Amino acid sequence: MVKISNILVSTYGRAMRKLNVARKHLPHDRLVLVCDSGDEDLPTIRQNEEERGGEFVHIEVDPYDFEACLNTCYRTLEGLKPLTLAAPLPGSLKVSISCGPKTLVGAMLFAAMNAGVEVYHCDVESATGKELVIRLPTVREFELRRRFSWDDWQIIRHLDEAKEVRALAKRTGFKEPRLDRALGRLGHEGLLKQVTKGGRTWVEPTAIGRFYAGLAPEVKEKKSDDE
Amino acid sequence: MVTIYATLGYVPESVLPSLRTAGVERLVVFASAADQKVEAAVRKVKAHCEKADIPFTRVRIVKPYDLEYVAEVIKEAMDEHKDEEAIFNITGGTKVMAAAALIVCFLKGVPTEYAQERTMEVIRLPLMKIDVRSQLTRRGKDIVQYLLAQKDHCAPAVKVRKALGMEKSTFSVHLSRLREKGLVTVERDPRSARGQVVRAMPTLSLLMMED
Repeated sequence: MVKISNILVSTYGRAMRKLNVARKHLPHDRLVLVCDSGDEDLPTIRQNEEERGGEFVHIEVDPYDFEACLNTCYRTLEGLKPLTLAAPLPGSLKVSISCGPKTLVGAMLFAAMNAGVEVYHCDVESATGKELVIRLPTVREFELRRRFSWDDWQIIRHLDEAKEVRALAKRTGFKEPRLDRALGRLGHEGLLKQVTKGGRTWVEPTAIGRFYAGLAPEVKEKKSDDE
Repeated sequence: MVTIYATLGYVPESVLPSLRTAGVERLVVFASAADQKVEAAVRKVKAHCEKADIPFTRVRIVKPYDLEYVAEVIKEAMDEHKDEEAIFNITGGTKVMAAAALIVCFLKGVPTEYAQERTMEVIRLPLMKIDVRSQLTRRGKDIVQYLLAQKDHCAPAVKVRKALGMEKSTFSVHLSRLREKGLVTVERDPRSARGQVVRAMPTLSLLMMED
């Protein structure tokens, strides 16, 4: 049984060279790769990790489906956070976005910013062969989801699918000006769009809106814990 | 009217979906210099803009693997049209370029978008302005700003504390808060047996950029 204190979560997509830079420079006992299942490098990577006494975990995702990537990445990071809490030093959960399609990379960066986890980009400079380890300026314990107000979350939790504005008013119990303000704010943030169909106004969630709708129950739980 | 910004690599098609946005006023493309495939992509996008009568500007990225440099170049270019509505397409270019663009957009509150690599369907990331400075205490900001003004963004802890005129206990509290956020590290000073050196996170200057 390996004692886990340092976890490296990395996106992957047929770029062993970049992954190797991350593996070399970001110490870890467990490597978690987020990528599709068809990658032929996976058995080799698993073998390498096990030979050096570490653990290897593969999280399968369609790397071109942004929404699926975002949910998988966020759930992965949130699931791993408690494992590292017992570690002696902070920052033992690290993310590398060095390889894989940009859809997956962007989703992982966004998820890490929401989860308040350190992010690195590792690369090999093509002209010089120099290994680069770049810490992206994300802030630990700075969670983007905390930016939304209580009113915002009352709307966000209903963004799982399109809803008529009147139905939303009924569900939230918000009067028109209050609802309009919250919808305007969330529309401006890119979580929803308002469209008119058959003389009625509908609220349609974006991919990011649906992502935050999925977080709503956890936010409510955390608030209750805090109380 | 909207200014479209885009990082561009080898695939000109990655930029084109953003030009379908209503009211495009101009396109500003960030592309690395001295790469024939990139030049070909730039020419293709430029030709497309000429046909559509959209003013086109190309900004050369000389060091496409230097995150801080790329972010500074992008920020400078965006500041030229700072009062206009903007969207940033971060599909093309090196991952460092895309990451730098994403970070600048988070700091400036500019929405970003990806063109899905297989379908070229555009996915909008939300406008999420991050103001890290507002998360720091005044003393915390003083420490960070002092470090960023030093060579290699680091200095002996005693020197920082004395320069800022802080009591030992106050300095210790604010320093540990910055460490918890991962914004600074504290290392043993190689020149002194008991001394410590405080070092700012390498790309911290990006988060402290004035909008």
